[in-house]
Amino acid sequence: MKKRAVSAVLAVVLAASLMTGCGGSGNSAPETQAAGGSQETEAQAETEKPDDGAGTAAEQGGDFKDEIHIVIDSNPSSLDIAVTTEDVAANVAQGTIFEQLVAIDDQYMPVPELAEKVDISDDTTEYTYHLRQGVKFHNGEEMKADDVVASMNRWIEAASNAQAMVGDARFEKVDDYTVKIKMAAPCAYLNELIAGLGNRAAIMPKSVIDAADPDTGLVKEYIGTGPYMLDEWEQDQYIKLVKFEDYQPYGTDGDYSAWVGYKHAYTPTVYYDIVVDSSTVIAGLQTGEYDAAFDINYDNIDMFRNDENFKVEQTLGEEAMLIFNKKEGMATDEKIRQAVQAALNCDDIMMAAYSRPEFYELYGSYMFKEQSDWYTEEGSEYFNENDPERAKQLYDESEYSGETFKVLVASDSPDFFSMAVVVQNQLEAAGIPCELLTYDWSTFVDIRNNEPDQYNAFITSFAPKVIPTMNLYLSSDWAGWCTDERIQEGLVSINTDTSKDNAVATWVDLQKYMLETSVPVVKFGSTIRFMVCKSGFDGLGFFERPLVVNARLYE
Amino acid sequence: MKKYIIRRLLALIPTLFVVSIVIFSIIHMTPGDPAAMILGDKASVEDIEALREAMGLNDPLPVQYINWVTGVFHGDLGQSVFIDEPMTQILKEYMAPTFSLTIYAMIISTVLAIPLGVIAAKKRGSFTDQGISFLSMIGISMPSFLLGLLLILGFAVQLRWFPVGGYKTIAKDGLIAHIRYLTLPALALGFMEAALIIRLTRSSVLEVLASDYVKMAKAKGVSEFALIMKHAFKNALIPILTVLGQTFMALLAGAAIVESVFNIPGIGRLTVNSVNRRDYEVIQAVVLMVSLINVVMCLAVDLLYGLVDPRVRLED
Amino acid sequence: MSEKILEIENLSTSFKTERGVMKAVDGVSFYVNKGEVLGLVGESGCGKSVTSQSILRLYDEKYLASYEGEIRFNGKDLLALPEREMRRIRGHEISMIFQDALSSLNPVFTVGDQITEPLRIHQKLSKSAARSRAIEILSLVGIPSPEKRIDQYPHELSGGMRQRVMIAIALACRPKLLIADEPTTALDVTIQAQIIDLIMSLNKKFDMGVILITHDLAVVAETCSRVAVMYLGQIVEEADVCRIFDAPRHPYTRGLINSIPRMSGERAKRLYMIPGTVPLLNQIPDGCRFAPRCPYATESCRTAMPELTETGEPGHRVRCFRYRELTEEVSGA
Repeated sequence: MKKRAVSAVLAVVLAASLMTGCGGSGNSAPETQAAGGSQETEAQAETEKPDDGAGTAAEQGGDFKDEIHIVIDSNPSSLDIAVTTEDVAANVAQGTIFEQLVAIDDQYMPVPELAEKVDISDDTTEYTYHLRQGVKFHNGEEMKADDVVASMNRWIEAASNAQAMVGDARFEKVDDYTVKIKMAAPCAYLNELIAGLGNRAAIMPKSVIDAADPDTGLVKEYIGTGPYMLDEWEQDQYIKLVKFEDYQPYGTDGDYSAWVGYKHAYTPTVYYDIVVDSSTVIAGLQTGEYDAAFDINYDNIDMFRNDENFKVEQTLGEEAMLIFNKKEGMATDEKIRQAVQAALNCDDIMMAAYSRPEFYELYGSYMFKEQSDWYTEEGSEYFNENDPERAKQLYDESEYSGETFKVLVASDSPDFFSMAVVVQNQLEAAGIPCELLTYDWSTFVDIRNNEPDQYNAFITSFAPKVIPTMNLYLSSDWAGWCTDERIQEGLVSINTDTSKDNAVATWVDLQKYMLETSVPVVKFGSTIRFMVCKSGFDGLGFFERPLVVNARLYE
Repeated sequence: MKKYIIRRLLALIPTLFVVSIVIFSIIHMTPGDPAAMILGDKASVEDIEALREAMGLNDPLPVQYINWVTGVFHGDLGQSVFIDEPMTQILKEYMAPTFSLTIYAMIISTVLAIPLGVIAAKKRGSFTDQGISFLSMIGISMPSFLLGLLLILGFAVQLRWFPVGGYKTIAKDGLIAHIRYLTLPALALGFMEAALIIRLTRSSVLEVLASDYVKMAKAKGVSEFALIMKHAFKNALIPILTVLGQTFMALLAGAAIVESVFNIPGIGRLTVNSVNRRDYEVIQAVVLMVSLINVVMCLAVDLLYGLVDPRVRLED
Repeated sequence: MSEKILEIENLSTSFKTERGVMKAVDGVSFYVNKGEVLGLVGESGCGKSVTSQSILRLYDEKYLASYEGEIRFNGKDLLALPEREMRRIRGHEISMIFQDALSSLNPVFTVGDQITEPLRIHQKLSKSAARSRAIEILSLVGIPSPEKRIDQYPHELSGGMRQRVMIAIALACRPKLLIADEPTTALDVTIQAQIIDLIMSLNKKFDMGVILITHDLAVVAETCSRVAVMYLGQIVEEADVCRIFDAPRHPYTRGLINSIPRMSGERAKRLYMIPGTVPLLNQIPDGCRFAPRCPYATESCRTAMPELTETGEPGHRVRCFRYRELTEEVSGA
């Protein structure tokens, strides 16, 4: 009796607090305010109607806040973004603390940033970078060729992807404001690689690089050339960036796109608040403690869309994929890979993870729709095939018929886990026995990398890449081990082809081959990422991450 | 007394030794390694392997253990892979919020709970008693993260009395900010323990009130107030004291959850993060420290015991 | 005729329990003269202790107990006094010592703390004055080296010593009436005698009335001037001590006396045992409460309750329908 009374009261309290907690007007129809700035992606243009031109916020005039708070969901292990490929580190440091020789714009094209211009030899074997003069590091030193050479060569050492492209070639100093690299073979996309690789080609002073930790190779000071410098990093609390007063913007005022362009650094202080609990993020946005957060729980998007105090921005997300282990076990057999691809209904898989069709897109191209140069529908008939009978037939034809297909997934990621469960169901429905191996993130990475005998495929996702050859899942030395000779030859040919048309043609062929025959991966779909920020924001971009360099928050 | 304390502290060494071996084995046998975490998800297997080698993670386990233990005996608790500070500094920094939080929660669960328990006992059966019982029943049955979220919704989002989360140090932001930021988490953390202590105090006081010596005291003409505050309370304190040590450790352990809900950079967060990214030496140092705190707490409770109950004599 | 210091009239004490209201003491009346030792005897559970604790109103009146009747102490009705004035009586004019000294002394306070407490409450003595009084009293109750003992805790003392401490506490304020609730039960025989002697000597020394509650009739025979016998919350017989032992009227009293082992006479004869056990308070029989265990009970005993009536001899009252026939029967046999 007593117990029942308690639970009744509890239920009432809960219900009341949840209802009030959701707050908001609830009467306005869902609509998304687009960013006022120039950094709209095509994804936004396609999925919503942006209100064009100079943002509404700018017209509000008045004073803007001198500090803003952006939420990040974990404490970066390091801000040395040349070494770590962690997204959260780049979210804080790339383009703010550190700049690069070239960086990508919203068309995924490399644009000079610390370089004045880049000369590329006709055979694309030699790249010469003319550095901007008078660029200061946060420690007051001027950026010169020695720093750039040290940074770029360190980057090459850290990134096997870069090594694969340049071979033994390294950057050399020509004079104080010129560096060059000369490769043995043509290298058509070196700038794309520098601009968009997971290991960021951050330019740091040579002195800092020389003082790096000998064990881990991580630098001990975070000194770059960007408009913000690291002021304070309270572990697990916040990372505080302050405006670098000696920063010299480049390009033309008002011309800023994706990660590159004229940076004002209007807001003197930017906090990246490290908030682990997603409910706390939502509550903190509502109370105004945080000004912007991204990748928040999809369930909360509508609430913020209906709240006039907030606007919701979106950008390209990632490609969610099942990557086959082509080194050991049953997935080394093409037939098994084809069978799995044929069995899957990608719509169900994406739906399980993202709950609403508007939160994802389904298409077969490995490259994003927005990357118009490379996007192709070739081979798409094999995407989302959802043909269990053909799958079963392929499975039965395989020498591994009868074996259980093991899918490795990290339990920390609810999205991937949901996908894995659906994959398992669909495979079993097609008559392919399937088992899930669920581990915490560290264990997942360890098994993925070091114990290929344990699993046949794993689930992960990838951010858009500037060129197809940068896609890690096509690499022969990353987990999954895509050693298919035809694919590897195709990639080399794309990288070295001086004609882009030829390169695209090669890629179109390659994608058809991959979807039809080789099936190194199964793409489930592309996600859309959301950022919630206060409606008073002007110039807060969202391209893979919130871009604060031109952000102003009006009261 | 001094001898007793020294003996108890000496007995700590083998305990810590066993704890260290167990924890060392567990964390090193768990798959995953810090090299992969440093380099990130998209790093190549070769790069990770090279870093493992450079970091000495490929040395045989006994060698790694001996290296570490030797360091500990030389006062070197090791080096975090991810936080570029001396270990003692790391422990100090992360322990401070947890300590503040735990002590605050401890205050809530004692300074508040004990008098409530006494009042409930004194007014047993009354409306007040039932109200307090109801409160403590909620406290016992509600998990701290849920309570934390409800507190955030009520007091931070709706009323805006307290911040949603975060942490402010006394040194930098002053005591008031410090307390303001820790109030909701301390409530969330301390409520369950408070509920337990309320119930314990109530039954303990009731039991003592029914005892012969309280009757005897009443027969001497002692007033009801002095009866409870003097005769009953000191006796009722004995069982309460026993659980206080456990409570402190429970709060310390519970802090990990509350810290993540309220975004407090405490030892719980450090531990969870360190386990996730396999920062071995930090985990080892934290475990050592927590074991040490545990033993010291037990000792402190035993000493307090001797203070409250003259029947307990700590043998020399 | 000596002056009555305590007069209890028709006292009933009932307790609220989970199984309803239980009357533990039902219409008890007796008196204590100044300087007199009254024995209150009966088996365990007969209501002796409840009666004695009711005199000091030690039971919680808010949640537990309610009293009826009158307890006149020096003419004042204690049951009508407000709590504040009642507190002034307790430990000051009427004191009490309990059965088990170990559990009745507060384990976390020193002997000194506990003796000085009533002195400080009632006589408003200063700390040091109270302490020297306490030492005095300790030596009075026969505790050697009281200066040392005063700072010890109860668990550091022997059983007899603890009982002496309790007596010291009770006597601290020189009460006019001492209620001794089985003061010797928990002690071994030699110590028992010492404690009884102590109580008797103090009784004489301070001319203090004593209610000695016991189930040990041998002690009663030695010490008391009058005896009241209780059974199931009622007084069944009351008389001076010689009469009780020489001519008990009530079958229960007779049973009690017969169950005392004799030093003389036939040793082989088995000790008398009253058949059955004391019923629980919620199983109180109609009619005479002793009837179910009484060998002489008749039908009328089981239906109607006998009153406590004068036998004709001075001060002798008994609660039995058949006491006259039984007296003849027994003496005739």
